[in-house]
Amino acid sequence: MPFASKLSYLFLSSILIFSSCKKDDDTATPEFVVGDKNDLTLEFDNVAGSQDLTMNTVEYTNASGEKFKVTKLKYYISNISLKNENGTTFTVPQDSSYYLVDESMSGGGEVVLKDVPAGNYSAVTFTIGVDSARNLEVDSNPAKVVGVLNFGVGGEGKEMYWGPSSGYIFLKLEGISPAVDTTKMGSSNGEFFIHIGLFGGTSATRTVNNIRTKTLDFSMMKATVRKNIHPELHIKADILKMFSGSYTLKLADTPNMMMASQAITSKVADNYSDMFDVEHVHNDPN
Amino acid sequence: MTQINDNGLLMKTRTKFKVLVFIGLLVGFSCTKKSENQEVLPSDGVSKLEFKQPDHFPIPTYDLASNPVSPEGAELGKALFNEGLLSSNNQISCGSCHHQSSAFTQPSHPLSHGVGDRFTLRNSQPVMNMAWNRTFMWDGMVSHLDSFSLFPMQNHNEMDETPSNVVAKLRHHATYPARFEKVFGTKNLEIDHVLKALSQFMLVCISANSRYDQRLLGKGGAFSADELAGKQTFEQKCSSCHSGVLFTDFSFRNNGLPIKNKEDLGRYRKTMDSSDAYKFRVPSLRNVEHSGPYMHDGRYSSLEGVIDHYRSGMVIRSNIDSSLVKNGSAGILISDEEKKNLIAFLKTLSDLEFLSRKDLFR
Repeated sequence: MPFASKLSYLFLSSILIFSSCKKDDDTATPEFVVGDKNDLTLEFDNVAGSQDLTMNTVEYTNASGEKFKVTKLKYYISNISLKNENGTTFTVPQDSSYYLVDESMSGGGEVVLKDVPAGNYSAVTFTIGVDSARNLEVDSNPAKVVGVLNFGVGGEGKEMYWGPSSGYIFLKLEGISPAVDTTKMGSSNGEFFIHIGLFGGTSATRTVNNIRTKTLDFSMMKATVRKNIHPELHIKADILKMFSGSYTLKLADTPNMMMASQAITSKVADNYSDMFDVEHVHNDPN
Repeated sequence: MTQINDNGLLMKTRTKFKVLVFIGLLVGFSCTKKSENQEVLPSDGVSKLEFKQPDHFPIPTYDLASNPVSPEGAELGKALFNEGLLSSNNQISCGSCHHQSSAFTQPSHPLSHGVGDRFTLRNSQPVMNMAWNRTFMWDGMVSHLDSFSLFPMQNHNEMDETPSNVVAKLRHHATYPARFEKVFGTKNLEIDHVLKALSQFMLVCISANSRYDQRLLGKGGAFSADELAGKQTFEQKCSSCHSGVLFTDFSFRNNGLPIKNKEDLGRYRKTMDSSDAYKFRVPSLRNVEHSGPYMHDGRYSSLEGVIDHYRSGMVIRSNIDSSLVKNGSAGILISDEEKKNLIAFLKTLSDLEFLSRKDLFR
């Protein structure tokens, strides 16, 4: 068969497929009226490259060829807003806008946004970490320190807080790597600790600002919130991207970074702000 | 040693203690209301931080007359405890590694990290009931509370700052000089004033209102069957070291931990006596549910792990504590059932009032 006719077959079949898809889409997105609402779930699925992330047992390799296992992964997602294709934006109410993704918990990556107005959404914006205002409210308005932000007795944010000028820890990645020098204090089994926080500090003590905000566009897929449709955005977070990007992080050089490693943590925060991708959207009836 | 029988009443005690506890019982009843009120600052915003001798505790080892605790002094100490200026990068405070909700330890940190994100030598210990301590730190390096704060302040891996720099920074601060003047009568503060203010705050960090305490004082709900059984096991198998109402005899012992860091010779660092090598302080078990990870290097993240160590994880060295060895092998016989009950009992030592009192949080 000549190349041109091959191409036309391809073209024809794609038209057929597309038109059939179009039809499906139409039936899956019925009309809605103002006032309709439903939940929308952001499901943060932590992966390492092409593999799903498995804690403690599976070894991964970073861009520098260092092998490592993950023993802990937790990060805050906050200040979430959704862009509607009609040009408006739905902003999750501030006090409901703090979530802690915890790889060790089943369902620990599910961020369920309540009462999202019906509409077709094409992008999501969120902060990785906790905004400066809420960090400062730990002292000025302690009533706001609740839920995942509560670092008091039995609080969900218990191990995610440093102190007044250094604030919440935005992201923790811990693990074990043969690349780490075991004679280093705290790393006798090759442990590494990547703790990233710092919101800019207080007027008395300034720090770097590692708050990163990310917008993910999924206008090709759309999340269609309807009275009877509760969309689920599947967001992949590829932890290998923490080790590469604008900065190459080597565990051998920096097995631990915390509040005092200000310069490096900013570079890793730049890296991880690019680790998120919307993989697909389910628009299933609830 | 006090014991509670199934009805929660005090039985076998030494006579002296009997009298003390009886008084404690009487006072305990009348105090119930007051201690509840301590949970929040009064509405007038005036600090009520004070040193209040728990009725069932022994006489403090700290000489309170040498540094009388005042609300202003304790509040100043609390501010300093949470003050980054005490470190060379102005970022690390005492509070960085001593979180109230974890009995002033650092949750999920086997070791803590200070200036330059350098790891500390050891696991951060609770700041509680300091007035009754006989020594401080895992090796008892320091014997007076007032000099204790100098060590983390100057330690290279912790706050890495000199006392003279701390004094200079605080003297030039907008509000501290006036606060020092109020407490110590001079704006020209010296390091001794800083240390004494810190002591005042640490002295008011008293944990004496756990369910165990309430039971001991004849108030509060009864122990469950598991807790009671755990208490019996504890008294038979643990209380020779974790003794008395503070749950420690303050001694230094080799508890059979396999050596992880050869450099950390424990009590030997203080005494230079080879028989003290790798001995560490017997810690209090108050609030132990909330103060993990455990041991001087934080090697165990759970109480299960700690008990398993005493069951089957110990290694024998020449100076291992004799109470841990029987017929040439190390190990305390604790069944799975006893282990479960022991943990239930240990949780009765949690003092939620202490862990969540708002007036102790910066």
